[in-house]
Amino acid sequence: MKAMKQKGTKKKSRQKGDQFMFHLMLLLPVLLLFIYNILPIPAGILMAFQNFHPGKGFFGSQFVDFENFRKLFLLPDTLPALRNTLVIAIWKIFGNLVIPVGFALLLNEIKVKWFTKTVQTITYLPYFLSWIILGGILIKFLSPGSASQAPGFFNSLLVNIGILKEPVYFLGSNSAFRQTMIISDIWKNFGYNTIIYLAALTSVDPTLYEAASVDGAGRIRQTLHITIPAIAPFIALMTILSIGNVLSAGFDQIFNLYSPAVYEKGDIIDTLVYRLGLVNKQYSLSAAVGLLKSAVSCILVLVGYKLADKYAGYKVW
Amino acid sequence: MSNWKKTSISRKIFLIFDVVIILIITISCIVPIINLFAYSFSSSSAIMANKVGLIPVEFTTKAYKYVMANKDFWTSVIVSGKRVLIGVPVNLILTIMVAYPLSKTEESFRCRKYYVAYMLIVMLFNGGLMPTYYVVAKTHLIDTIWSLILPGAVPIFNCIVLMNFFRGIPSELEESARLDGANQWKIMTAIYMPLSKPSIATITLFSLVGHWNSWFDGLIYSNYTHNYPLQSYLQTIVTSTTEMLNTSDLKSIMALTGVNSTNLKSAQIFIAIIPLMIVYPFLQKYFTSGLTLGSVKG
Amino acid sequence: MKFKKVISLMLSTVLAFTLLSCGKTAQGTTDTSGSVKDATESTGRAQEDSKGGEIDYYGFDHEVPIKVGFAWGQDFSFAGGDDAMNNPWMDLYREHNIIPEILYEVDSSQAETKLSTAIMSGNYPDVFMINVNEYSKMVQSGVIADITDYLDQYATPELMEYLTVDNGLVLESLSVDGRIYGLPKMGNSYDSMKVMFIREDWLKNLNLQIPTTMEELKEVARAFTFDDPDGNGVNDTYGLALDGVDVITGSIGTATAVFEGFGAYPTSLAFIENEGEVVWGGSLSDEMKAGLTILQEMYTEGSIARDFITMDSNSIFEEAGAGRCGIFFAPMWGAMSASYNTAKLDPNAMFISAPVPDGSGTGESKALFKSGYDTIYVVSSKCENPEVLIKLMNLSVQKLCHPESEEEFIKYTSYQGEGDYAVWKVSLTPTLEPLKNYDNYLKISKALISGDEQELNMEQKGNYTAIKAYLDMLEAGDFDADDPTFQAGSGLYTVFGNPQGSYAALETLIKADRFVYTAYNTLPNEKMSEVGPTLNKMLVETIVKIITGDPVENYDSFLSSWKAMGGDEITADAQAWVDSVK
Repeated sequence: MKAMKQKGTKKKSRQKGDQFMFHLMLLLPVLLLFIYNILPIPAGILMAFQNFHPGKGFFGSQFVDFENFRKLFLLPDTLPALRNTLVIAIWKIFGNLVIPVGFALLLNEIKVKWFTKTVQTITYLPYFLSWIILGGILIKFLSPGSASQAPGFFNSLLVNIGILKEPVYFLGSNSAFRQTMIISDIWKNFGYNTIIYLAALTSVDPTLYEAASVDGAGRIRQTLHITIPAIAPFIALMTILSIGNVLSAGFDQIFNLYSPAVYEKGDIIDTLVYRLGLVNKQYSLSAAVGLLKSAVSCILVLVGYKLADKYAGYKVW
Repeated sequence: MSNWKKTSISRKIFLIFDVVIILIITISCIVPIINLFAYSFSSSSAIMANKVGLIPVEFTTKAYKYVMANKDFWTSVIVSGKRVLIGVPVNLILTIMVAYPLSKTEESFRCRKYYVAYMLIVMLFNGGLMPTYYVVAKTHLIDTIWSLILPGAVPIFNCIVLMNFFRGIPSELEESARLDGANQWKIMTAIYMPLSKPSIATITLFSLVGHWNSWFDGLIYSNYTHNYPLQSYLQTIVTSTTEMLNTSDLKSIMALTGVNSTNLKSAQIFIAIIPLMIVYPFLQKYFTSGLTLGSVKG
Repeated sequence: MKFKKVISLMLSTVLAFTLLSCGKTAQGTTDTSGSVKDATESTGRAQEDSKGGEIDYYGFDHEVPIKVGFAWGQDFSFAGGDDAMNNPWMDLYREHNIIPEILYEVDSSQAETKLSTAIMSGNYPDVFMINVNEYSKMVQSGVIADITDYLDQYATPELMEYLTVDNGLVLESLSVDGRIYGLPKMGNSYDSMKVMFIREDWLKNLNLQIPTTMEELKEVARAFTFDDPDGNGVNDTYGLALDGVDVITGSIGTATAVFEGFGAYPTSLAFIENEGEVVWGGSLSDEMKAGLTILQEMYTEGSIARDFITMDSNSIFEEAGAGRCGIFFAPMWGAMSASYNTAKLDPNAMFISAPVPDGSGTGESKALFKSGYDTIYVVSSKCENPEVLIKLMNLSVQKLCHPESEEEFIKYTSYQGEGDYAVWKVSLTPTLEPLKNYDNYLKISKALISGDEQELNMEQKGNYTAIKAYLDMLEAGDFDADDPTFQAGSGLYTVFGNPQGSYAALETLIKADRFVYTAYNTLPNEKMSEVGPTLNKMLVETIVKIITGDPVENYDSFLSSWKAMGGDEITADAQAWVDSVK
């Protein structure tokens, strides 16, 4: 009896010790997060509802309620930025799911190990390059040239093959900019995403395929009826989790590749926030846009999590 | 391949198409980089005449020589190096500190859900550009290496990956260690960490790439060019519109003879990606297993 | 925004190769007897005043720290061991008890963002420069200080002379409710006017004359495109290079020049008086349509590059430098790089200038004359000694416009030689002599003819020597186009040296007062800032579309939209202002 009680108290104190240890571990991260992630939040909220005067700071600036938001909707840049953000983000989410899955399926058919490994290694190189670097590369690579001067490599190639009649100003024309952003983003990320999907594909039970081929099903039918349904939940999960990102269309990429000529179709919420705050010094407006974006994204992310939990039983946390 | 003869014609055709498509796509991933490489070794007149494709035209190493002598470039490389050397371990340690407790069940860690809620808030909300800058400024981090490390010191995404991985480790191991009298710290370091090598390697890789490629924080948190990390420095030259050859300042003309901004930029960009290109193929195996094991359940 | 910075960087570079002249070159007069002696007298006088009276025009009797921030352009670097804290200017300031403390020192591409974050965090420079577009906003938000009284109290006569070189137009435009919040960096109106640059060798090869009318321009452009002007048997040339990206807002290859030839002035917010009324320069429909027609005809013929739409100023430099185009419109410094680049390909290549061809039939095109300034020096509202701005500018005007000796000259500006650099750029408030370039042109061209260098000041002497070296090399036939001296000389020649150079072309305009003066000479008001960009975008799109084929009549429908979308309103505002100051 005593022994058991002793064991009991020992367990309890070890439990307490455990708790203490856990809290201790989390102390520093929580502190850092508080300072640099949590503190700015009320600051941003304040700024969005004030007419922020740099001289007076947060406590001295006058409150203007929703004035900033009203001004926001009168700004000619706002609607295009919102539109562009949604279009580009949704297409990117779509493309970044479909292309890697497709590529993974294609790659899965080739059973030569060294081939697939090499392909994977090469294709996920762009993922590691920052948009500064890719920006520098792409600006020249996609250049349309001028007058009787040969264009950059890509345009030259397409014209020579005959796909294009004349060079396209990918980065400088409103009609091509969005597509260029979307496709280049997919190009950058697909190698990395393919790896994930490939892993999911290889986890499909091979006996299912064997059984199917015995039944006379060709590869295509096998793919349609076995592979896709097997990885469908995974794809669904990835889609749902990306809902929250629909307002982040890729600041790094757009910032390094855009120019005033393509603001109409290429300016996104994040670049607008940047310009309002860091170039035009319209601090309050910038904060207002940021706040709106945060609020909406938050709702979307939560929706995504709830759906993921409900349909795929996936709990992020 | 031994089955080749057995496969049907239609299958053969499909496979050939398949390989061709894969090859085209794969090659498209390295072509721009080869193009860059070619530019960096070509002469400025060849570039102006746009004769350069995948091979350097009028081979010259002038651009690289100029880069080698460019103090600003190498200073930024060192800053990036410092940043990686300090930032990655910091990230790693803090990630483990967060992932481990949160990987326990609500039962064994009483206050877990509060911490989870906290993390959730951090993930969902972003204070915004200006407010964050304000906080960083007020905590005296401007122009220090810490401005590049502390604001992002706890990478929540990595925590999730590692946390899920930890969860996958059988709890029996923990229980038997407990019976031996080990405390949580010991359990974590002696059992969980060694078993999580793939996942740890993965998040280290994420952290490494993140720090190496990060540029925006370097730009706004540094008041001096010599505090810029590499990518921030590159940003100032990649997007600069000043055509150096248009200045009439004798000295500048002298310094830049034979060097055109394109081959100069290309050389600097190319040097910047060399470390990555060398390192990443070796990490592929960790990458695959660590990521998928950790995040996919079911 | 960035483009403007590039322009001002280039302009500034050209404006100050080395030293400054110190002649009294007020508008219109050509009294260029400015010699070093004169300068000594004038500065001597000023110093007597300050010593005699109680006011210290140049500094303080106790240490006054001021916070400053630097943003260096890509083309600037220190030499001779100097750095941002240790150089002639910082030493000068410290001598006068003005102690600069550096807050930041970054690349010019970061200038805006750095200033923004600095202001935001409350810790920003005491003295800095802003673009004229930000002036009203900054006044409203209270970031900068009211310096009206300080100006009255502390400005030296030299400073006032500098500030009123355009008869006070600028100072007038900067006043908000009668108070002034910043001082302008005076510019030279001539430096931004467009002239035509054309390949003389091509004209010679084809036996053509410089076009003086638009019809002639069309004909010459056609010949340049189809008649193999460079004689190499290959169809690789064309006539006119146009900037299709910035069309109206840019300076290089701008189409505005063509419209100006017809008498229309479509630059943003350019209001002129037409038949007693204030109108927007682009609302003169007949003139604009005439210009559009000619451009359209040239495009259809092929004399304008098919893909001009994608060309910006950098492309135009490339086009000209690679010997592909034979004509382009630009400010006086436009052919400087093209000059030596074409020399590499063809030793006979030579760009000459002429005033914009006339389309109005009067035989004389007129250039738009507007106040040349876009940078304003301001002092923070947090600064405890706002008068420091005035004192800094006093110092700057003294050292840069009226130096006491050649040595002083060298010390505070820059020199040509090893280990020296553009020192003037380090000044917190660089105030270069506004009409310097015109003076340089007059002196240098005279010296080239007479061979007499006596009247030249240091900078002019430097330019003169470079030009002469270049001419000698050309004549000898043996030159290395990569030699920096050759390049400098060749560029300078297109501006100052050639009797048919860009400043010579400008001189024709100046002497005959071939100018149309802007009527609205104050800062854009809120409505203008608001609708300006949108209206401008519409204009650019319309112009490009018409040139590439849309009916010229569409310009009238554009004008209706322009009026409806705010054009009428801002015109009325401009009219009101003009009436109020009459």
